[in-house]
Amino acid sequence: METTRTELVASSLWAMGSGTHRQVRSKAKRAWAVCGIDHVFVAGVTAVVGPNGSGKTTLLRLLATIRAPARGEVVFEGRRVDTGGVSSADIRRYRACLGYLPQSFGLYPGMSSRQFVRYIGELKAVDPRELDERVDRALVMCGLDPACNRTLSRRSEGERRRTGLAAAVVAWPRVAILDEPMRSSDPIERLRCKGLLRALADAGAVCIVASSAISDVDGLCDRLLVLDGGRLAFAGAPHELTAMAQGCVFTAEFPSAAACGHQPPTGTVDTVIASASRRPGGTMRVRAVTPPGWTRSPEWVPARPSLEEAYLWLRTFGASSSYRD
Amino acid sequence: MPAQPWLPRRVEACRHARELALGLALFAAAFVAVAATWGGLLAASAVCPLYGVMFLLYSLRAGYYGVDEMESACPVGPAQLMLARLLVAGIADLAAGLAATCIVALSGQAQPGMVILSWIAPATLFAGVALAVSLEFGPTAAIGAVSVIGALGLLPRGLHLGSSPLAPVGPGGWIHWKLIYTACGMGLILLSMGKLRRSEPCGQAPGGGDYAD
Repeated sequence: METTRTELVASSLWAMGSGTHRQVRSKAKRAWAVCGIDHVFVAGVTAVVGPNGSGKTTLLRLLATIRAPARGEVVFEGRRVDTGGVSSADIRRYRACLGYLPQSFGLYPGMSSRQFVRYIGELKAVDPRELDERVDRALVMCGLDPACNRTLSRRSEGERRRTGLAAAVVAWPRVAILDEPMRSSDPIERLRCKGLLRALADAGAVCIVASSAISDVDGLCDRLLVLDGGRLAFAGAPHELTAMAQGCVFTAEFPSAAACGHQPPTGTVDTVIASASRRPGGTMRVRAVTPPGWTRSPEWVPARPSLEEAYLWLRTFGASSSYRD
Repeated sequence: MPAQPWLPRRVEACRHARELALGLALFAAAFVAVAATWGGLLAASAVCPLYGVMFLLYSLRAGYYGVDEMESACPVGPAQLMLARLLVAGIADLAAGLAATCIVALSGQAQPGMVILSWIAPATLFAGVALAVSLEFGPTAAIGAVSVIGALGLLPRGLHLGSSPLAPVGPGGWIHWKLIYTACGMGLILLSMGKLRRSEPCGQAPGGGDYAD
Protein backbone atom coordinates (compact mmCIF):
# COMPACT_ATOMS: atom_id res chain seq x y z
CA MET A 1 0.00 0.00 0.00
CA GLU A 2 1.40 3.38 -1.04
CA THR A 3 1.79 5.65 1.96
CA THR A 4 4.03 8.44 0.64
CA ARG A 5 2.49 11.14 -1.51
CA THR A 6 3.82 10.84 -5.04
CA GLU A 7 4.60 14.19 -6.62
CA LEU A 8 6.27 15.23 -9.81
CA VAL A 9 7.26 18.88 -9.90
CA ALA A 10 7.94 20.80 -13.11
CA SER A 11 9.78 23.97 -12.21
CA SER A 12 10.25 26.79 -14.74
CA LEU A 13 10.62 24.39 -17.66
CA TRP A 14 11.82 25.81 -20.95
CA ALA A 15 12.49 23.73 -24.04
CA MET A 16 12.90 24.28 -27.72
CA GLY A 17 10.47 23.07 -30.31
CA SER A 18 10.10 20.65 -33.16
CA GLY A 19 12.83 19.31 -35.36
CA THR A 20 15.58 16.78 -35.35
CA HIS A 21 18.46 17.00 -32.89
CA ARG A 22 20.46 18.84 -35.51
CA GLN A 23 17.68 21.36 -36.17
CA VAL A 24 17.12 21.89 -32.47
CA ARG A 25 20.82 22.65 -32.02
CA SER A 26 20.71 25.09 -34.91
CA LYS A 27 20.14 28.64 -33.73
CA ALA A 28 18.19 29.46 -36.89
CA LYS A 29 15.48 26.95 -36.01
CA ARG A 30 15.13 27.90 -32.37
CA ALA A 31 11.64 28.43 -31.09
CA TRP A 32 10.43 27.81 -27.59
CA ALA A 33 7.88 25.00 -27.47
CA VAL A 34 7.60 25.07 -23.67
CA CYS A 35 7.99 28.44 -21.97
CA GLY A 36 8.52 28.52 -18.22
CA ILE A 37 5.99 25.94 -17.09
CA ASP A 38 5.57 25.52 -13.35
CA HIS A 39 3.28 22.82 -12.07
CA VAL A 40 3.08 20.19 -9.35
CA PHE A 41 1.66 16.91 -10.66
CA VAL A 42 0.06 14.97 -7.83
CA ALA A 43 -1.57 11.54 -7.64
CA GLY A 44 -4.60 11.31 -9.89
CA VAL A 45 -5.21 11.91 -13.58
CA THR A 46 -3.93 15.18 -14.99
CA ALA A 47 -4.95 15.89 -18.57
CA VAL A 48 -2.75 18.07 -20.74
CA VAL A 49 -4.75 19.55 -23.58
CA GLY A 50 -4.17 22.22 -26.17
CA PRO A 51 -4.10 22.78 -29.91
CA ASN A 52 -1.54 21.18 -32.21
CA GLY A 53 1.91 22.64 -31.62
CA SER A 54 1.06 23.95 -28.17
CA GLY A 55 3.91 22.01 -26.55
CA LYS A 56 2.04 19.04 -25.05
CA THR A 57 4.40 16.40 -26.40
CA THR A 58 7.49 18.44 -25.62
CA LEU A 59 6.31 18.88 -22.02
CA LEU A 60 5.65 15.14 -21.68
CA ARG A 61 9.06 14.30 -23.12
CA LEU A 62 10.71 16.59 -20.59
CA LEU A 63 8.79 14.93 -17.76
CA ALA A 64 9.67 11.46 -19.10
CA THR A 65 13.42 12.31 -19.21
CA ILE A 66 13.52 11.80 -22.97
CA ARG A 67 14.70 15.36 -23.44
CA ALA A 68 16.72 17.69 -21.30
CA PRO A 69 15.13 21.07 -20.60
CA ALA A 70 16.98 24.15 -21.76
CA ARG A 71 16.14 25.71 -18.39
CA GLY A 72 14.28 24.57 -15.30
CA GLU A 73 14.07 21.22 -13.61
CA VAL A 74 11.89 18.19 -12.99
CA VAL A 75 11.80 16.94 -9.40
CA PHE A 76 10.45 13.58 -8.26
CA GLU A 77 10.15 12.90 -4.54
CA GLY A 78 12.59 15.67 -3.72
CA ARG A 79 15.30 14.56 -6.19
CA ARG A 80 16.05 16.28 -9.47
CA VAL A 81 15.44 13.81 -12.29
CA ASP A 82 15.60 15.83 -15.52
CA THR A 83 18.46 14.97 -17.82
CA GLY A 84 20.25 18.28 -17.40
CA GLY A 85 23.46 16.79 -16.04
CA VAL A 86 22.34 15.49 -12.67
CA SER A 87 22.80 12.17 -10.92
CA SER A 88 22.11 9.24 -13.22
CA ALA A 89 21.21 7.09 -10.19
CA ASP A 90 18.26 9.39 -9.44
CA ILE A 91 17.15 9.27 -13.07
CA ARG A 92 17.35 5.47 -13.14
CA ARG A 93 15.35 5.25 -9.93
CA TYR A 94 12.74 7.55 -11.45
CA ARG A 95 12.64 5.64 -14.75
CA ALA A 96 12.03 2.41 -12.84
CA CYS A 97 8.83 4.03 -11.46
CA LEU A 98 7.90 5.53 -14.83
CA GLY A 99 5.56 4.26 -17.51
CA TYR A 100 5.81 6.19 -20.76
CA LEU A 101 3.78 5.99 -23.96
CA PRO A 102 5.18 8.27 -26.68
CA GLN A 103 2.95 10.08 -29.15
CA SER A 104 4.39 8.17 -32.08
CA PHE A 105 6.46 5.07 -31.69
CA GLY A 106 7.37 1.87 -33.45
CA LEU A 107 7.47 -1.72 -32.33
CA TYR A 108 9.69 -4.58 -33.39
CA PRO A 109 7.59 -6.12 -36.17
CA GLY A 110 8.79 -9.68 -35.60
CA MET A 111 7.65 -9.76 -31.98
CA SER A 112 4.20 -10.58 -30.65
CA SER A 113 2.46 -8.17 -28.29
CA ARG A 114 3.29 -10.44 -25.39
CA GLN A 115 6.97 -10.66 -26.31
CA PHE A 116 7.25 -6.89 -26.64
CA VAL A 117 5.51 -6.16 -23.33
CA ARG A 118 7.68 -8.79 -21.67
CA TYR A 119 10.79 -7.22 -23.19
CA ILE A 120 9.91 -3.78 -21.78
CA GLY A 121 9.08 -5.43 -18.45
CA GLU A 122 12.55 -6.96 -18.39
CA LEU A 123 14.14 -3.61 -19.16
CA LYS A 124 12.08 -2.12 -16.33
CA ALA A 125 13.72 -4.73 -14.06
CA VAL A 126 10.39 -6.24 -13.01
CA ASP A 127 10.92 -9.19 -10.68
CA PRO A 128 11.25 -12.24 -12.99
CA ARG A 129 8.98 -14.28 -10.72
CA GLU A 130 6.16 -11.78 -11.26
CA LEU A 131 6.92 -10.85 -14.84
CA ASP A 132 4.66 -13.29 -16.68
CA GLU A 133 1.71 -12.53 -14.43
CA ARG A 134 2.22 -8.76 -14.85
CA VAL A 135 2.55 -9.07 -18.62
CA ASP A 136 -0.70 -11.03 -18.86
CA ARG A 137 -2.49 -8.56 -16.59
CA ALA A 138 -1.26 -5.55 -18.60
CA LEU A 139 -2.32 -7.16 -21.89
CA VAL A 140 -5.76 -8.07 -20.58
CA MET A 141 -6.29 -4.58 -19.13
CA CYS A 142 -5.47 -3.13 -22.55
CA GLY A 143 -7.86 -5.49 -24.33
CA LEU A 144 -5.24 -7.76 -25.89
CA ASP A 145 -5.23 -11.53 -25.81
CA PRO A 146 -2.06 -12.75 -24.04
CA ALA A 147 -2.25 -16.08 -25.88
CA CYS A 148 -2.27 -14.48 -29.34
CA ASN A 149 1.03 -15.05 -31.12
CA ARG A 150 0.28 -12.78 -34.08
CA THR A 151 3.32 -10.60 -34.79
CA LEU A 152 3.08 -6.85 -34.41
CA SER A 153 3.59 -6.36 -38.14
CA ARG A 154 0.18 -7.98 -38.64
CA ARG A 155 -1.58 -6.00 -35.92
CA SER A 156 -3.81 -3.00 -36.57
CA GLU A 157 -2.79 0.54 -35.60
CA GLY A 158 -5.12 0.44 -32.59
CA GLU A 159 -3.73 -2.90 -31.39
CA ARG A 160 -0.17 -1.66 -31.77
CA ARG A 161 -1.01 1.44 -29.73
CA ARG A 162 -2.60 -0.73 -27.05
CA THR A 163 0.53 -2.89 -27.02
CA GLY A 164 2.50 0.28 -26.35
CA LEU A 165 0.08 1.17 -23.57
CA ALA A 166 0.42 -2.31 -22.04
CA ALA A 167 4.22 -1.93 -22.17
CA ALA A 168 3.92 1.44 -20.43
CA VAL A 169 1.91 0.00 -17.53
CA VAL A 170 3.50 -3.46 -17.24
CA ALA A 171 5.55 -2.43 -14.21
CA TRP A 172 2.46 -0.78 -12.66
CA PRO A 173 4.20 2.62 -12.61
CA ARG A 174 3.93 5.30 -9.95
CA VAL A 175 4.22 7.93 -12.68
CA ALA A 176 2.43 7.21 -15.97
CA ILE A 177 3.06 9.66 -18.79
CA LEU A 178 0.84 8.81 -21.72
CA ASP A 179 0.72 10.80 -24.93
CA GLU A 180 -2.60 10.32 -26.73
CA PRO A 181 -3.29 6.85 -25.27
CA MET A 182 -6.75 6.70 -26.82
CA ARG A 183 -5.79 7.58 -30.37
CA SER A 184 -6.98 5.02 -32.95
CA SER A 185 -9.26 3.38 -30.35
CA ASP A 186 -12.93 2.60 -30.67
CA PRO A 187 -15.38 3.68 -27.93
CA ILE A 188 -15.11 0.36 -26.07
CA GLU A 189 -11.33 0.55 -26.02
CA ARG A 190 -11.53 4.18 -24.88
CA LEU A 191 -13.67 3.09 -21.93
CA ARG A 192 -11.19 0.32 -21.16
CA CYS A 193 -8.31 2.79 -21.31
CA LYS A 194 -10.15 5.19 -19.02
CA GLY A 195 -10.73 2.34 -16.57
CA LEU A 196 -7.03 1.48 -16.63
CA LEU A 197 -6.03 5.10 -15.99
CA ARG A 198 -8.54 5.38 -13.15
CA ALA A 199 -7.20 2.17 -11.59
CA LEU A 200 -3.65 3.53 -11.76
CA ALA A 201 -4.72 6.85 -10.26
CA ASP A 202 -6.69 5.11 -7.50
CA ALA A 203 -3.55 3.14 -6.65
CA GLY A 204 -1.78 6.46 -6.00
CA ALA A 205 -0.04 6.94 -9.34
CA VAL A 206 0.54 10.29 -11.01
CA CYS A 207 -1.10 9.89 -14.43
CA ILE A 208 -0.36 12.56 -16.99
CA VAL A 209 -2.37 12.18 -20.17
CA ALA A 210 -1.98 14.39 -23.22
CA SER A 211 -4.90 14.62 -25.59
CA SER A 212 -6.06 16.88 -28.34
CA ALA A 213 -9.67 15.71 -27.83
CA ILE A 214 -11.38 17.06 -24.71
CA SER A 215 -13.97 14.30 -24.92
CA ASP A 216 -11.22 11.75 -24.19
CA VAL A 217 -10.47 13.27 -20.80
CA ASP A 218 -13.92 14.61 -19.86
CA GLY A 219 -15.09 12.77 -16.77
CA LEU A 220 -11.69 11.12 -16.35
CA CYS A 221 -9.25 13.81 -15.28
CA ASP A 222 -8.97 15.27 -11.81
CA ARG A 223 -6.93 18.21 -13.05
CA LEU A 224 -6.61 19.90 -16.38
CA LEU A 225 -3.71 21.79 -17.92
CA VAL A 226 -4.44 23.81 -21.03
CA LEU A 227 -1.36 24.73 -23.03
CA ASP A 228 -1.29 27.44 -25.63
CA GLY A 229 1.88 28.47 -27.40
CA GLY A 230 4.00 26.59 -24.87
CA ARG A 231 2.50 28.44 -21.91
CA LEU A 232 -0.05 27.41 -19.33
CA ALA A 233 -3.35 28.98 -20.25
CA PHE A 234 -5.18 27.19 -17.46
CA ALA A 235 -4.33 24.84 -14.62
CA GLY A 236 -6.98 23.57 -12.27
CA ALA A 237 -9.89 21.21 -11.81
CA PRO A 238 -12.25 20.74 -14.76
CA HIS A 239 -15.14 22.24 -12.78
CA GLU A 240 -13.08 25.39 -12.26
CA LEU A 241 -12.78 25.79 -16.01
CA THR A 242 -16.49 25.24 -16.56
CA ALA A 243 -17.20 27.75 -13.76
CA MET A 244 -15.08 30.31 -15.62
CA ALA A 245 -17.24 29.85 -18.71
CA GLN A 246 -20.48 30.08 -16.74
CA GLY A 247 -22.79 32.67 -18.31
CA CYS A 248 -20.95 32.52 -21.63
CA VAL A 249 -22.73 29.50 -23.16
CA PHE A 250 -26.20 29.83 -24.66
CA THR A 251 -28.56 27.60 -26.55
CA ALA A 252 -31.28 28.40 -29.05
CA GLU A 253 -33.61 26.54 -31.38
CA PHE A 254 -34.01 27.65 -34.98
CA PRO A 255 -36.57 26.48 -37.54
CA SER A 256 -33.87 25.53 -40.09
CA ALA A 257 -30.14 25.27 -40.47
CA ALA A 258 -30.11 28.28 -42.78
CA ALA A 259 -31.82 30.43 -40.20
CA CYS A 260 -29.22 29.91 -37.52
CA GLY A 261 -26.28 30.78 -39.75
CA HIS A 262 -22.82 29.64 -38.95
CA GLN A 263 -19.88 31.63 -37.82
CA PRO A 264 -16.33 30.42 -38.06
CA PRO A 265 -14.73 29.46 -34.76
CA THR A 266 -12.23 32.27 -34.53
CA GLY A 267 -11.66 34.82 -31.82
CA THR A 268 -12.55 37.72 -34.07
CA VAL A 269 -16.29 37.02 -34.11
CA ASP A 270 -18.59 37.69 -31.22
CA THR A 271 -19.88 34.10 -30.88
CA VAL A 272 -18.62 30.62 -31.65
CA ILE A 273 -21.07 27.86 -32.56
CA ALA A 274 -20.05 25.01 -30.26
CA SER A 275 -22.53 22.50 -31.65
CA ALA A 276 -25.54 22.29 -33.92
CA SER A 277 -27.87 19.29 -33.94
CA ARG A 278 -31.01 18.53 -35.90
CA ARG A 279 -34.09 17.96 -33.71
CA PRO A 280 -36.91 15.48 -34.55
CA GLY A 281 -39.23 18.25 -35.82
CA GLY A 282 -36.64 19.45 -38.33
CA THR A 283 -35.52 22.35 -36.17
CA MET A 284 -31.87 23.01 -35.32
CA ARG A 285 -30.63 23.28 -31.76
CA VAL A 286 -27.54 25.40 -31.55
CA ARG A 287 -25.16 25.93 -28.65
CA ALA A 288 -22.97 28.98 -28.78
CA VAL A 289 -19.97 30.14 -26.78
CA THR A 290 -19.85 33.89 -26.35
CA PRO A 291 -17.54 36.50 -24.87
CA PRO A 292 -18.36 37.86 -21.41
CA GLY A 293 -21.08 40.51 -21.54
CA TRP A 294 -22.45 39.40 -24.90
CA THR A 295 -25.73 41.05 -25.79
CA ARG A 296 -28.07 38.22 -26.66
CA SER A 297 -31.30 38.17 -28.58
CA PRO A 298 -34.38 36.65 -26.86
CA GLU A 299 -34.18 33.20 -28.50
CA TRP A 300 -30.84 32.47 -26.80
CA VAL A 301 -31.15 31.01 -23.30
CA PRO A 302 -28.25 30.44 -20.88
CA ALA A 303 -26.91 26.86 -20.75
CA ARG A 304 -24.57 25.01 -18.46
CA PRO A 305 -21.18 24.78 -20.18
CA SER A 306 -19.69 21.39 -20.91
CA LEU A 307 -15.93 20.92 -20.49
CA GLU A 308 -15.47 21.12 -24.24
CA GLU A 309 -17.42 24.38 -24.43
CA ALA A 310 -15.46 25.79 -21.50
CA TYR A 311 -12.23 24.89 -23.32
CA LEU A 312 -13.55 26.55 -26.47
CA TRP A 313 -14.43 29.65 -24.44
CA LEU A 314 -10.95 29.71 -22.87
CA ARG A 315 -9.21 29.35 -26.23
CA THR A 316 -11.35 31.97 -27.90
CA PHE A 317 -12.22 34.58 -25.32
CA GLY A 318 -10.71 33.70 -21.97
CA ALA A 319 -7.03 33.09 -22.69
CA SER A 320 -5.89 36.65 -22.06
CA SER A 321 -7.54 36.73 -18.64
CA SER A 322 -6.17 33.38 -17.43
CA TYR A 323 -2.63 33.39 -18.89
CA ARG A 324 0.16 33.42 -16.42
CA ASP A 325 3.88 33.69 -16.94
CA MET B 1 15.54 0.88 -7.91
CA PRO B 2 19.01 0.96 -9.52
CA ALA B 3 19.40 -0.95 -12.76
CA GLN B 4 21.45 -4.12 -12.56
CA PRO B 5 24.55 -3.61 -14.73
CA TRP B 6 24.29 -7.04 -16.37
CA LEU B 7 20.60 -6.73 -17.14
CA PRO B 8 20.75 -5.21 -20.66
CA ARG B 9 23.35 -7.74 -21.85
CA ARG B 10 21.31 -10.64 -20.55
CA VAL B 11 18.09 -9.27 -22.05
CA GLU B 12 19.74 -8.63 -25.41
CA ALA B 13 21.48 -12.02 -25.53
CA CYS B 14 18.25 -13.84 -24.67
CA ARG B 15 16.23 -11.77 -27.12
CA HIS B 16 18.75 -12.37 -29.90
CA ALA B 17 19.25 -16.10 -29.25
CA ARG B 18 17.12 -17.10 -32.25
CA GLU B 19 18.66 -14.45 -34.50
CA LEU B 20 22.16 -15.49 -33.39
CA ALA B 21 21.51 -19.08 -34.37
CA LEU B 22 19.93 -18.07 -37.67
CA GLY B 23 22.77 -15.62 -38.40
CA LEU B 24 25.39 -18.25 -37.72
CA ALA B 25 23.67 -20.69 -40.10
CA LEU B 26 23.51 -17.99 -42.81
CA PHE B 27 27.15 -17.14 -42.20
CA ALA B 28 28.17 -20.78 -42.56
CA ALA B 29 26.22 -21.12 -45.81
CA ALA B 30 27.68 -17.91 -47.28
CA PHE B 31 31.19 -18.83 -46.18
CA VAL B 32 30.99 -22.27 -47.79
CA ALA B 33 29.54 -20.80 -51.01
CA VAL B 34 32.21 -18.07 -51.34
CA ALA B 35 35.01 -20.42 -50.28
CA ALA B 36 34.00 -22.96 -52.94
CA THR B 37 34.15 -20.26 -55.65
CA TRP B 38 37.02 -17.94 -54.69
CA GLY B 39 38.82 -19.73 -51.89
CA GLY B 40 38.63 -19.71 -48.13
CA LEU B 41 40.75 -16.58 -47.58
CA LEU B 42 38.48 -14.33 -49.61
CA ALA B 43 35.47 -15.97 -47.99
CA ALA B 44 36.80 -15.10 -44.54
CA SER B 45 37.78 -11.57 -45.52
CA ALA B 46 34.45 -10.79 -47.20
CA VAL B 47 31.83 -12.78 -45.30
CA CYS B 48 33.03 -12.16 -41.72
CA PRO B 49 32.85 -8.34 -41.84
CA LEU B 50 29.55 -8.37 -43.71
CA TYR B 51 28.13 -10.74 -41.12
CA GLY B 52 29.33 -8.45 -38.33
CA VAL B 53 27.92 -5.34 -39.99
CA MET B 54 24.60 -7.07 -40.64
CA PHE B 55 24.40 -7.89 -36.98
CA LEU B 56 25.39 -4.37 -36.00
CA LEU B 57 22.71 -2.86 -38.22
CA TYR B 58 20.22 -5.40 -36.93
CA SER B 59 21.01 -4.27 -33.41
CA LEU B 60 20.50 -0.63 -34.42
CA ARG B 61 16.96 -1.30 -35.56
CA ALA B 62 15.45 0.25 -32.41
CA GLY B 63 16.08 3.65 -34.00
CA TYR B 64 14.89 2.42 -37.39
CA TYR B 65 11.60 1.11 -36.04
CA GLY B 66 11.13 3.98 -33.57
CA VAL B 67 11.15 1.84 -30.43
CA ASP B 68 14.02 3.85 -28.98
CA GLU B 69 11.86 6.45 -27.26
CA MET B 70 10.02 3.80 -25.30
CA GLU B 71 13.30 2.05 -24.42
CA SER B 72 14.77 5.39 -23.37
CA ALA B 73 12.24 5.70 -20.55
CA CYS B 74 13.56 2.46 -18.97
CA PRO B 75 16.12 2.56 -16.17
CA VAL B 76 18.68 0.82 -18.36
CA GLY B 77 18.92 3.82 -20.69
CA PRO B 78 19.62 3.93 -24.42
CA ALA B 79 23.41 4.09 -24.14
CA GLN B 80 23.68 1.01 -21.96
CA LEU B 81 21.29 -0.80 -24.24
CA MET B 82 23.30 0.15 -27.32
CA LEU B 83 26.55 -0.97 -25.68
CA ALA B 84 24.94 -4.28 -24.78
CA ARG B 85 23.85 -4.73 -28.40
CA LEU B 86 27.33 -3.91 -29.65
CA LEU B 87 28.79 -6.47 -27.31
CA VAL B 88 26.41 -9.17 -28.51
CA ALA B 89 27.11 -8.27 -32.16
CA GLY B 90 30.86 -8.18 -31.53
CA ILE B 91 30.91 -11.57 -29.82
CA ALA B 92 28.84 -13.11 -32.61
CA ASP B 93 31.24 -11.77 -35.26
CA LEU B 94 34.31 -12.80 -33.31
CA ALA B 95 33.02 -16.35 -32.92
CA ALA B 96 32.18 -16.63 -36.62
CA GLY B 97 35.53 -15.11 -37.65
CA LEU B 98 37.56 -17.41 -35.44
CA ALA B 99 35.68 -20.44 -36.76
CA ALA B 100 36.40 -19.32 -40.34
CA THR B 101 40.06 -18.72 -39.43
CA CYS B 102 40.40 -22.26 -38.10
CA ILE B 103 38.91 -23.69 -41.31
CA VAL B 104 41.17 -21.64 -43.59
CA ALA B 105 44.30 -22.18 -41.50
CA LEU B 106 43.70 -25.92 -41.21
CA SER B 107 43.31 -26.18 -44.97
CA GLY B 108 46.79 -24.62 -45.29
CA GLN B 109 45.74 -21.70 -47.50
CA ALA B 110 47.32 -19.03 -45.28
CA GLN B 111 48.87 -18.33 -41.92
CA PRO B 112 46.31 -17.85 -39.12
CA GLY B 113 47.63 -14.32 -38.43
CA MET B 114 47.07 -13.29 -42.05
CA VAL B 115 43.60 -14.80 -42.06
CA ILE B 116 42.64 -12.97 -38.88
CA LEU B 117 43.99 -9.68 -40.27
CA SER B 118 42.13 -10.24 -43.54
CA TRP B 119 38.75 -10.19 -41.83
CA ILE B 120 39.34 -8.18 -38.68
CA ALA B 121 40.51 -5.12 -40.67
CA PRO B 122 37.34 -4.73 -42.74
CA ALA B 123 35.16 -5.88 -39.82
CA THR B 124 36.43 -3.15 -37.49
CA LEU B 125 36.40 -0.52 -40.24
CA PHE B 126 32.84 -1.38 -41.27
CA ALA B 127 31.64 -1.57 -37.68
CA GLY B 128 33.32 1.73 -36.79
CA VAL B 129 31.87 3.55 -39.80
CA ALA B 130 28.42 2.00 -39.30
CA LEU B 131 28.36 2.94 -35.64
CA ALA B 132 29.66 6.48 -36.09
CA VAL B 133 27.32 7.21 -39.00
CA SER B 134 24.30 5.66 -37.31
CA LEU B 135 24.83 7.69 -34.14
CA GLU B 136 24.93 10.91 -36.14
CA PHE B 137 22.56 10.26 -39.03
CA GLY B 138 20.60 7.10 -38.21
CA PRO B 139 20.77 3.44 -39.26
CA THR B 140 19.63 4.03 -42.84
CA ALA B 141 22.62 6.29 -43.52
CA ALA B 142 24.87 3.70 -41.88
CA ILE B 143 23.63 1.02 -44.27
CA GLY B 144 24.45 3.35 -47.18
CA ALA B 145 27.94 4.16 -45.89
CA VAL B 146 28.83 0.52 -45.31
CA SER B 147 27.45 -0.46 -48.71
CA VAL B 148 29.65 2.15 -50.41
CA ILE B 149 32.80 1.00 -48.62
CA GLY B 150 31.96 -2.65 -49.25
CA ALA B 151 31.33 -1.99 -52.95
CA LEU B 152 34.61 -0.08 -53.28
CA GLY B 153 36.41 -3.05 -51.75
CA LEU B 154 34.72 -5.77 -53.76
CA LEU B 155 34.19 -3.98 -57.10
CA PRO B 156 37.73 -4.41 -58.48
CA ARG B 157 37.56 -8.13 -57.81
CA GLY B 158 34.08 -8.41 -59.28
CA LEU B 159 35.30 -6.70 -62.46
CA HIS B 160 38.33 -9.04 -62.58
CA LEU B 161 40.67 -6.09 -62.08
CA GLY B 162 42.45 -7.81 -59.23
CA SER B 163 42.37 -6.58 -55.66
CA SER B 164 43.33 -2.98 -54.99
CA PRO B 165 46.06 -2.64 -52.36
CA LEU B 166 43.85 -0.02 -50.67
CA ALA B 167 40.71 -2.18 -50.75
CA PRO B 168 39.52 -2.91 -47.24
CA VAL B 169 37.95 -6.19 -48.34
CA GLY B 170 39.85 -9.04 -49.92
CA PRO B 171 42.93 -11.08 -49.20
CA GLY B 172 45.19 -8.78 -51.22
CA GLY B 173 46.48 -5.39 -50.15
CA TRP B 174 49.32 -4.34 -47.99
CA ILE B 175 49.56 -5.38 -44.39
CA HIS B 176 50.10 -1.84 -43.19
CA TRP B 177 46.87 -0.73 -44.90
CA LYS B 178 45.02 -3.52 -43.11
CA LEU B 179 46.54 -2.36 -39.85
CA ILE B 180 45.54 1.24 -40.61
CA TYR B 181 41.97 0.14 -41.33
CA THR B 182 41.88 -1.82 -38.08
CA ALA B 183 43.17 1.18 -36.15
CA CYS B 184 40.68 3.55 -37.85
CA GLY B 185 37.82 1.16 -37.14
CA MET B 186 38.82 0.74 -33.51
CA GLY B 187 39.20 4.50 -33.16
CA LEU B 188 35.70 5.11 -34.52
CA ILE B 189 34.25 2.40 -32.28
CA LEU B 190 35.93 3.86 -29.20
CA LEU B 191 34.86 7.40 -30.10
CA SER B 192 31.28 6.24 -30.62
CA MET B 193 31.28 4.34 -27.33
CA GLY B 194 32.59 7.43 -25.58
CA LYS B 195 29.84 9.48 -27.18
CA LEU B 196 27.26 6.93 -26.05
CA ARG B 197 28.60 6.98 -22.51
CA ARG B 198 28.55 10.78 -22.43
CA SER B 199 24.95 10.78 -23.66
CA GLU B 200 23.93 8.76 -20.59
CA PRO B 201 21.63 9.34 -18.72
CA CYS B 202 19.93 11.65 -21.21
CA GLY B 203 17.60 9.51 -23.23
CA GLN B 204 18.21 11.00 -26.64
CA ALA B 205 18.31 7.97 -28.82
CA PRO B 206 21.15 7.29 -31.24
CA GLY B 207 20.37 8.27 -34.77
CA GLY B 208 18.06 11.10 -33.86
CA GLY B 209 14.34 11.30 -34.16
CA ASP B 210 11.76 13.88 -34.88
CA TYR B 211 10.49 15.99 -32.10
CA ALA B 212 6.80 16.49 -32.46
CA ASP B 213 4.72 18.84 -30.41
